[in-house]
Amino acid sequence: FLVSLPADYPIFKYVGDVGAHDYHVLSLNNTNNDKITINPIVSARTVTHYIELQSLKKFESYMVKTCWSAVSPISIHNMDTMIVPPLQDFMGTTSEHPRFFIAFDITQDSYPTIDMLESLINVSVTNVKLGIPVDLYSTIIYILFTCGFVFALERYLNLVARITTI
Amino acid sequence: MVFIVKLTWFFLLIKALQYSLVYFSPSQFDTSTELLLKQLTNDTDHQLIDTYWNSNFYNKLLSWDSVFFLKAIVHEKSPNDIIKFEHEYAFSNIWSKLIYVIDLYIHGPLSITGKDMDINYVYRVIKVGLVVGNIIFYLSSILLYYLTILTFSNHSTDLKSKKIAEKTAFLFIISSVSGFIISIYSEPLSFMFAFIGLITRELSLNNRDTDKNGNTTELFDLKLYCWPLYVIATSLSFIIAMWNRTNCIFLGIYFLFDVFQLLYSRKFYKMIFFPLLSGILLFTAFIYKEYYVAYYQFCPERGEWCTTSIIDKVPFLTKQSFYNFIQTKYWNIGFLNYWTLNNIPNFLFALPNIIILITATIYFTKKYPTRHITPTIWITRCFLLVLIFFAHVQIINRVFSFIPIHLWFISDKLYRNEYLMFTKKTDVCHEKLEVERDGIKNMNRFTSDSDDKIIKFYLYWLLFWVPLQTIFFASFLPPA
Repeated sequence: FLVSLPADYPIFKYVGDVGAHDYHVLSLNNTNNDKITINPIVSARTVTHYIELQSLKKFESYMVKTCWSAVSPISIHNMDTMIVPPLQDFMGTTSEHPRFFIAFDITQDSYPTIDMLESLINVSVTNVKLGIPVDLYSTIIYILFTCGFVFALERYLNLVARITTI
Repeated sequence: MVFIVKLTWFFLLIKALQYSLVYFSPSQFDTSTELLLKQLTNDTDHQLIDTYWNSNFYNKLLSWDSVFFLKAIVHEKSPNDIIKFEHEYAFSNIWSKLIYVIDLYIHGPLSITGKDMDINYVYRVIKVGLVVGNIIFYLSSILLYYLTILTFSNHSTDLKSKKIAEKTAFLFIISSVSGFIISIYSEPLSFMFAFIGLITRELSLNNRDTDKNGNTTELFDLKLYCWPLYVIATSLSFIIAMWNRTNCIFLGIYFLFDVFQLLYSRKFYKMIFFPLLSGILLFTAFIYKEYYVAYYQFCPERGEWCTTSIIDKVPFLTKQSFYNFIQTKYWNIGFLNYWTLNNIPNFLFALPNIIILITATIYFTKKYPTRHITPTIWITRCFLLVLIFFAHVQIINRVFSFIPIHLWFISDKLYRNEYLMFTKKTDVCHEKLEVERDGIKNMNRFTSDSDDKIIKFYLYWLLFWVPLQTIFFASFLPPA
């Protein structure tokens, strides 16, 4: 899920404390990716979860990724962003600055349904550069290196020709 | 013997390269593996999950379907502690039971308790699963060698069938399924039993009749004394393959083919007591697993699927099988459901195998027609239609592993090319050789160069695809 701050979003320094709160925070302060593990109790009824994204830069795009294991039969949908204006109460908290949230719904998605299904979900936010999330760069370089290596092997050892003459 | 040694070294080399690629792969894009291990083991402080070999190697092998198999194995150990959800029934419980039993046989019950027991057990069964999967894959390549000899020896010289069999076995090790058999996947069990069943069926066939002058004619018959081999061994092998992976129900087409062949030659008793009986056994086993067991496990409480009975007195006979129901509900399987713009890359992943399989069926029907491979061609056509129009098409890269028709096509064509090159270079005028050479020349009148181009393209694709698929898997990236 790709997100970016609106053009008119004010620039300010996060000082942090908005008081005790029930939602999670992902912060990109001095980094280009962050990850948290949330442990929601999922019932048969749809529950909406909110995660505040802090220290995002304007004119940058970010990929929000939710990962959960296939052993947890849940479904995440309706992912969207939400801005809470300054001084507006949100889940019992207020802030002088606007707050940027991602919101998503979680429901159980298999039979039998469990009253209180415990699940673990990794939520991560990653800076996207040149249209590619930065956490994929190492994998892409590795793939390109492997392709180059296979190409060189084929060129010097004629692997396909050897396979055909086995 | 030399061949087996060469094949073993080749297998070990490919696996060493693949596991090196896993080890050096930088990270997993999907970060859920750590969550899986935490949920299965309660290792909240990550001490064992994050050890050097676990984080750099074993954890990277827990992507896609292997997650379900791992959970199923752990479920075998403590069925009361872990809930099994209905969509998990899409994954073979035979495979998970096999690994569970082998682990129990090798290691015995665990002597340690608590959290350590969970985490140690999980990594122990991962290792057992990897070894068992690879051993089965290796043994299957040898079985395929024998199956190919049996299949082609009915039509060609021993030398030719041996050469084709050798090529097929080597190609199987680097076939497109190879990128997945680095983890706990159920395909090896299915293709091994499919090959065993096909071998026992081939051994039961009598395809040649020799007259007094030594002339042979092609016919279709079954050897009476091979009844146990055909009805028990073949049926049982196909049933295990089908129970492990439901798509192996297509193997039943062999029985259908045999029924029609015997019907055509008016061998009614053989038809009833060989293929018809075997087909009924396979079909009953299918109904038992996909309808009866599932119905009495979930119904009537489940509702939905349970309410679709066709006959009131036989409530478990529902409109669609349980496998079909969960595939539709959880994986959106259905006619043209996968034909969306965002799935174009998945169609591209599948394209090389679609092309080679279609070419192989044309090759063995139009260019090199043989009644012997006809049922394999029909299975290929039917399964291809299902995969292209109903399923997640990219799974063709692994699920077609129990039908080796494309490998036979490549090996056969390569052998013919080699033979032609050899005969052009030599002036040997042995009578038998001349006859064979004429035969091949006649055959080549129908064989266009496009086959060679397709084979060349496919082999180049495999050369890049197998390492890439291995990296994709280790990085938890599609295709699944």
